Amino acid sequence: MKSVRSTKSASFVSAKHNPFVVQRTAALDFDFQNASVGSKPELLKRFESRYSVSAILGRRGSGKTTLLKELQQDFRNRDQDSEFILIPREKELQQAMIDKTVDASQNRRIVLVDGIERLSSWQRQSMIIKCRTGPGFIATLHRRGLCWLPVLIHCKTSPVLLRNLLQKLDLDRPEIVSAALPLWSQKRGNIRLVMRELYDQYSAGNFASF
Amino acid sequence: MIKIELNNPSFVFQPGQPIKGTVSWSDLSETKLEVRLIWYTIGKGDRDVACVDVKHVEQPGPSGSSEFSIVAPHRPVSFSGKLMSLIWAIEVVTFPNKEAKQAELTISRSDKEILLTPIPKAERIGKASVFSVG
Repeated sequence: MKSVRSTKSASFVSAKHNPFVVQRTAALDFDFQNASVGSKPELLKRFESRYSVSAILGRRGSGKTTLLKELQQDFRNRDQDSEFILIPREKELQQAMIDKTVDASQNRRIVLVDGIERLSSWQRQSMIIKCRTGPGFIATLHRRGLCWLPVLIHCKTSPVLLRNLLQKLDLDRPEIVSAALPLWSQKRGNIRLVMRELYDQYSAGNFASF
Repeated sequence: MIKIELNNPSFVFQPGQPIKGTVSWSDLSETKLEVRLIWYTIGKGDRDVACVDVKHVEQPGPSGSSEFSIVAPHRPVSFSGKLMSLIWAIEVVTFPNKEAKQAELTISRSDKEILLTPIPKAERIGKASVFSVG
């Protein structure tokens, strides 16, 4: 095993040899396997036709942010100006990001907002109203009812999707798949947490190195 | 095609030592090349990246080569642990397409990167995890 450090006290796989590093797992494309919309072209068509102000709905670890970042790239490829806004947890920094969002929208950029639920109800509604006349507004949401935004796409995960992702990482080996599938239900479908757990298991030497 | 060769075949450099090498290219349609010395982290958390030095190659032409020499900084040195690795690399980036090619190297006072080894539970102080270097 090229990457295992063995000492009297511990044996582990170092981060640079761990195939579950965030830089790999976060680079995976959004998988439409269980989503309410079947493909990217269909999603973009939906956005253009009726959902220019809308939400990407899904639980934690279902790929909302991944999809939002992909959409930014898609808009860029189509020469459409867009801006990705991450609403910070710190209350004192939030107003600046709200102003930045509204400013981007008024400057004819499509705004893609992640973390809108960190804002108060009043702040959310006020921001959306100000951005309604812009070229587009998409926010990620964990559940319906927090905003009146129509749902552009509902992201969901499944064991099949998890297996697809492992395949894309070239990690769909039997011992990894059999460890991953129970984790999917343990982590309530949160793929991010499943990948973190697999990282830990790999670093602990639970899977044979390759 | 871009090729990066370092004069030190072990790819290990002491802090303060010059990292010398040659970048060669062929079938290139780009208008500019940059040779960068960078470090980045990979692991369980977000990635940190820093570029510590850049050499520019203007009008590289379709094929050719260029020598570079960049002094290895004193810190941070290369290290690897369970949660994170810090990796140094020479990176060549072409413009305007921003295609990149990398050659990883080690900057260390010894002949290899520092390994962060977890100390056994009995030696831990309170709830904090302590790491030894070696």
